[in-house]
Amino acid sequence: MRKWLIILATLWLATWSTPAGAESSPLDKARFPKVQAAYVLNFAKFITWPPPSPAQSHHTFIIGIFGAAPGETLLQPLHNKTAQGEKIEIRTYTSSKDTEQCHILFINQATGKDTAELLNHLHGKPVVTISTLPNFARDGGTIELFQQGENILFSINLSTAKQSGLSIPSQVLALAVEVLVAKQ
Amino acid sequence: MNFKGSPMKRALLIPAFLLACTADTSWASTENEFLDLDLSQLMQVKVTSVTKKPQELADSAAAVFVISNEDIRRSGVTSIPEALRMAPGLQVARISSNKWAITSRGFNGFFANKLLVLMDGRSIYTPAFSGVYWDSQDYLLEDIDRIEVIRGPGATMWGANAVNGVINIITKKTTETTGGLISLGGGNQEKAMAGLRYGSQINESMAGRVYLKMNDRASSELSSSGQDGGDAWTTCQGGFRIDGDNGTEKWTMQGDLHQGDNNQHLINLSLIQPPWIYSNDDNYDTLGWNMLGRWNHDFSADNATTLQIYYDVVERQEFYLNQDHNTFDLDFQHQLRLGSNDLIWGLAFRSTCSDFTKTITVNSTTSQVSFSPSTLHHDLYSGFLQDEISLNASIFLTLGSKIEHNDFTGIEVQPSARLLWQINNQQRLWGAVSRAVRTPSQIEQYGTMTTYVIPGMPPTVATLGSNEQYDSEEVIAYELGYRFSPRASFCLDLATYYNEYEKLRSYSASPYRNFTNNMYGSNHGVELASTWQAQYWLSLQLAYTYTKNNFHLDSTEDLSSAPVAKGSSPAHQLSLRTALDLNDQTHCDFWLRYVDKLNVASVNAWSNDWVVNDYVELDISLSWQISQQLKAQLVGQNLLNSSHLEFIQESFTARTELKRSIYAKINWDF
Repeated sequence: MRKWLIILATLWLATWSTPAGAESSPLDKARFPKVQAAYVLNFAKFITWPPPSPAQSHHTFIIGIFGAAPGETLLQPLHNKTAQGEKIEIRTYTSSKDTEQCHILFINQATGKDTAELLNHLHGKPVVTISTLPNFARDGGTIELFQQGENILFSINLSTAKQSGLSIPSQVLALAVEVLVAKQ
Repeated sequence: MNFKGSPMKRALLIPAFLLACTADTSWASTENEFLDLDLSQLMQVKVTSVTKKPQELADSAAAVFVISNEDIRRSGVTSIPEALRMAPGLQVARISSNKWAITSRGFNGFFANKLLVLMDGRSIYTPAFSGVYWDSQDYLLEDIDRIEVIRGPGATMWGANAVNGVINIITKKTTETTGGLISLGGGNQEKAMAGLRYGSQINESMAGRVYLKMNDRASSELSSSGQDGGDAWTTCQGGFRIDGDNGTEKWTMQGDLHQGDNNQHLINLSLIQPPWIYSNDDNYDTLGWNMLGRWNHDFSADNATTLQIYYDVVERQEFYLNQDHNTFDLDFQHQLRLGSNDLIWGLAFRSTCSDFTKTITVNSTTSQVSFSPSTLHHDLYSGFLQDEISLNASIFLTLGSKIEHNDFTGIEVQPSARLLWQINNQQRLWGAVSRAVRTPSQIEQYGTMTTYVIPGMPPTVATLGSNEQYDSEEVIAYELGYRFSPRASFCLDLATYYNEYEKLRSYSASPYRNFTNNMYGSNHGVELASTWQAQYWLSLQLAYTYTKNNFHLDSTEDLSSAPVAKGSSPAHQLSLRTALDLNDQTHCDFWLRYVDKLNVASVNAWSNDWVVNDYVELDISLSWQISQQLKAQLVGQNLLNSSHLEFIQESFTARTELKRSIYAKINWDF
């Protein structure tokens, strides 16, 4: 028994000198998606969309998700909530086809090529794109969510929003860490 | 009815537990408590959390199962013990209307003593025999966030008596229970139930709630005659909780007050004068209150402390014994991340003062149960250290030990080593070796029970007496587990164990018997939990438990202990829950259970050659969300038999069978 204790104690001490291998992410994985969903709901409530185009003539407020699991569960709590006076409907997409029907498209997981294609496809269309992908706002997405320290914050590409006919209230802009405006 | 749906809709309706299984979501809760926050509040939400490691249960190197609030709600269970039937590895047997025998991995009985049960961090087992009086453990079920069931030795983190399992009943934070709730219902067995809660945000950093609940339950029926089991009961409970959170400091204050007016049908208590045998209906009372405070301070994302203090008072007045227990408990924990080490250490102190008095003296010198001395005071000191080490990106080693000093056996060391391998996104493999002890309870060192009396002048009085030399029961547990979730809609959790026991409780031979430690042996088993979201409107949850016991006694001992230890577990248990969404507002749940026969449920069953037959039972729950505020539920429980027997208590009470139960209930949120 004692021998084993000594061996265990030595092994334990040895671990102190090993370099921090792959430290697990400090993100509480349960909370992060919940906060993201809450952000999406807030944007759905406060942004103003132009009057509906024929493609969007539905009686629901459509939030799309691009990218597979775990994203498909991420926005689950928003289903049947209301935004802009209409019930929220959640749809998934695996290609850019029909994404223009969304009011909001959440890009959950996507390659750089997919993202470029999506943003290109939605250029000028009244769809708010949201993602946690790095540099998403810089690359032409509408809203980028990112973690800074212990908090989740956001940046807005105002030029993208304006080109799409979207109006973002100043209170929302004031909270953004960064508001990107393309040079004239 | 609308059964159409896109793949997305299917995903939207995946119930909580299922999400829990996948690698990228949490096991813990389904509700999104952040949806009501505005942008500026969202920016304040901290997404880093280190306290007590709300670790993803999918990634824990232990056999863990979570019963969510949704599981409780949809199943229609009306008490905490009934909810526990959902967990694999647990054996839940309802002895009578108000008594349960609940255990993990063997050794079941009304006085089952190898399972630690905590409610919001407060231990609810009684020091008299280290088991749980389930008739006085309750909460407003709507406000229970989840019940975590950890099978196997949880001794390192939680302390002694977590020999074969730990149950953590966790109530919702007050920020999740703002608003009012009124719940009313009734039926043939659940004669009346009422619940009331009101919660509110007190200020920006503080929220609170108060609740009150009442249950009036009908009796079971006697196995022998089919007549009234004499065990109807009424309970009342109220309480409050306040949570504060200003970023780095979090604190909780909570308290409950509970009262029970219960009945039991006593049989065959021994008298030492004619008529020698006493049988009667006993009206017994339970009463208690508790107050708990918890304070959590985050120094940084990687460095946090928690201090918890509680005081718990329990009174129980039965025909053969009155008991009062006052417990003070202080618990400190520090969590620290250093390089690849995730450390938690803690110190705890518990002081228990118990008072035993005889309600009725069967004769001038002996009562059915007595304690000497009749007032007992015990202190418990303990400390633990646990380190989770990332050996590489996917392998985690957890080493830890608890060291405690108790007044019964002195110092006890309970170490464990656990290894988790994250094979890939879909698979986890874990193994563990641990040592745990079940320290003596008051009855084993200070109690005496009259077992039988042979009439005569003078009569022969046989007793089961305490033994100051009675020692801790010990187990070395070997566990191996595997989790597989190939996609979000399916997961499988398999746990196996082999437990080697020493110094298990036995009794010396008649007529003056003592508690001794002369039983040895092992048990092993397989536990399987699986969830399958077959369609967006249909999910299936399966739990299967296999248990095999093998125990033997020293030849000097009374023969009963080994057959009871072997025969009180069912070899096979199966639970299949089917959740069917007829549409968004109408849900239908089926719950089918099979429990194998108990050859020797207890010493009482052993001496009378009584067997508890295997049984199949079915619960059906139908619920309608009538409006945003109003929900109605119709529940049928134990529908397949007009009555069935689940267990036979060790002593004192008659065999009683549970009757078919039907009730309706309305919940109004405001």
